Amino acid sequence: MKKETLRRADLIFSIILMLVSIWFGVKSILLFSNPFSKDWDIITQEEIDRNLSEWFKSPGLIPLIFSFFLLVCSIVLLITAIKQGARFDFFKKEKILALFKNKEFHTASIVIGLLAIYLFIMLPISRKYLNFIPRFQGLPFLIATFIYLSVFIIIFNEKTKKKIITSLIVAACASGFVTISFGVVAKILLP
Amino acid sequence: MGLVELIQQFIGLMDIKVIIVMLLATTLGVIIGALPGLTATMGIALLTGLTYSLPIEYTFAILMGIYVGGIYGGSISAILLNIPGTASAAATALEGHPLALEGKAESAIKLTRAASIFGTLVGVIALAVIAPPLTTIALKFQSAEYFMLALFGVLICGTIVTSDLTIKGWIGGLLGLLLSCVGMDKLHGASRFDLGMTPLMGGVDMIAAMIGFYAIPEVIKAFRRSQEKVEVAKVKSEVKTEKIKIFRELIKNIRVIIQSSLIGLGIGALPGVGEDVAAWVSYDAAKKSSKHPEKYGKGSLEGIIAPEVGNNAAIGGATIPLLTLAVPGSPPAAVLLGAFMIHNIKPGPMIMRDNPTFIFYIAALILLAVIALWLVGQVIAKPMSKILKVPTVYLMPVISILSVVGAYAINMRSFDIAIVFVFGVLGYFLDKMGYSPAPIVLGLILGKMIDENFRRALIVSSGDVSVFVTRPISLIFFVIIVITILRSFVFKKKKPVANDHTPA
Repeated sequence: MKKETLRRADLIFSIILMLVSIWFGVKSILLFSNPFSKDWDIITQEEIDRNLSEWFKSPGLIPLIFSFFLLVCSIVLLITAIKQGARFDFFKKEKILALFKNKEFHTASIVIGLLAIYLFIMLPISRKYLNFIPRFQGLPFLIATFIYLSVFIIIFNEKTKKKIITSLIVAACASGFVTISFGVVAKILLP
Repeated sequence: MGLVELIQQFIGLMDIKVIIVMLLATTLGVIIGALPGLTATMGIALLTGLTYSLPIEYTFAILMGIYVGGIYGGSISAILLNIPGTASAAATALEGHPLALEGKAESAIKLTRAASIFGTLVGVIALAVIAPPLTTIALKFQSAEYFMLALFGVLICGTIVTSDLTIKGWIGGLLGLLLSCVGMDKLHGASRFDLGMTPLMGGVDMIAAMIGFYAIPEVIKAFRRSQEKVEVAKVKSEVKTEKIKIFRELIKNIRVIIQSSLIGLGIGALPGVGEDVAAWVSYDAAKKSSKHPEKYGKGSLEGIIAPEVGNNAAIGGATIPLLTLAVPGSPPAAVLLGAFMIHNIKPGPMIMRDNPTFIFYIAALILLAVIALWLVGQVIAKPMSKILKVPTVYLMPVISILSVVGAYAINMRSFDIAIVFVFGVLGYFLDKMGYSPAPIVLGLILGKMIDENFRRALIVSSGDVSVFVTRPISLIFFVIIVITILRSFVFKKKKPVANDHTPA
């Protein structure tokens, strides 16, 4: 990544980090007085005072310290990014369009999208509806994985007839190998 | 004493099944290390899950075989392709590829193999000899010392491994530490930061997170690189008069070998730092102390020996604190710590009491892996040029599948698959922004140790924080931590912005 873009990313990320550290910090402070997340209605002042007097035992202590230092580091990162030229100018239309047109962004989006579809849609659906051979528990995984690999490889491979057929063969062999070797031979339960 | 135990454990490994498993695992490790985009750390993380249900003796043999093979394997693609298979072979590429272009690829590969074997042997001997007495010193550690040690580990890892701003290494460490706080607190049983989700009450699964951090970003990154057709330098036979005499070169460069072994051991022992830093520091030291520094960058044999000895000696170096203090010395060692824990082995000073032969057992496995490497290396060099031509487009999607299967295999929870995905995507974006995964993973691993020991020390001292500076060992660590932080602010180094933060 170019340094200019990197510092811009640091600017955004430092703000995200500040929010994360504040969230952790607030939750940690609440743990001091109510470590077991009971309803606030049933907690007595005596209990709160006792918890606070034994602050060093609190499960919120270390997360509070970590979140404080994370906040400090985020502020340092923000200041460094601004000193090195980053500005809040990334919400301009041309910059957002440039991001969407970026090849790397497309590639990463496709890979992440395919993986998400495979993990959160294909695997659960195939497990639910394609489990029609009870003796062969790996069948739903095999089908979902074959489809995922085929689509994945074809998208990123050359679009010739030969390459498509090779992609399908590789997908079939790979999904078959993983299913048989891990699911059947090693008896590892497949997702 | 340590060497006698090592030999006894080694004899105990002379079971044909274990030997075959080790040979196969080392071969796989060499292939994983050689293929750009795959790393020893990733290999160990994937295999930890995939081998979970195997008998324990095979599991550890596989993991150590992958570790040793993987660290060496990176040098093969470094020499043949000028693309290091692992970050620890980046220095090897500088000298190895020019040698390959001169037609000396085969000799260069043999020399790196011999250097790797030597480096690993030094590490094994150090592990067997140094680790047991170190547990005696570690028994003097109480909660305050453990807290300081673990904190120092995360801090030094974050300071050294980051390629951009040092603050990013610390931020990574802090993120890992905060993530480790998710779930039930061990001292009081209070559930923290679980967002009301039952699966999170058990915390973030370490192995799933590591698979996510190390494997998925590589899958995404592999497709964003341009599809170049790489030229694989042929491992062709050399003209007899130009052939490198391996043994003679090793003897001639004994000073570099000893120097790099010690550097590798020392850096390997630093928490979370690892083999790639050991390789670079060894290379740099060899260059600075060389009588012919002008030869570096043009195919220097010294320059190819130093990083390979250094990065392999770091294997033993990293295993020493891993087993004696439960503080991993490198990213692969960090994953090994997770593997030991899920198999109910508890590294740390009590290991000599609870499992007195375990240190020597691991040392013996590394020794067996070295022998396997020597055997495998004779056979695999020539076919590697074909293996390296496997297109990324076929390989990386399969890696994503193995990541999912590996993460699911441990606890059989769909939630762990979600962890792999979330940490994978997070790891990719963090990597793009110059954050190394090493301090995050180390923070995740050591966070609970820091939390529990900090509070335990305060409970024992009734809230008196001076316990951390009145105990001598704790004070030493405290001073080192303060110096490390001050140095980073006072002596700000401008580091080049790197896109690739792949660990060994």
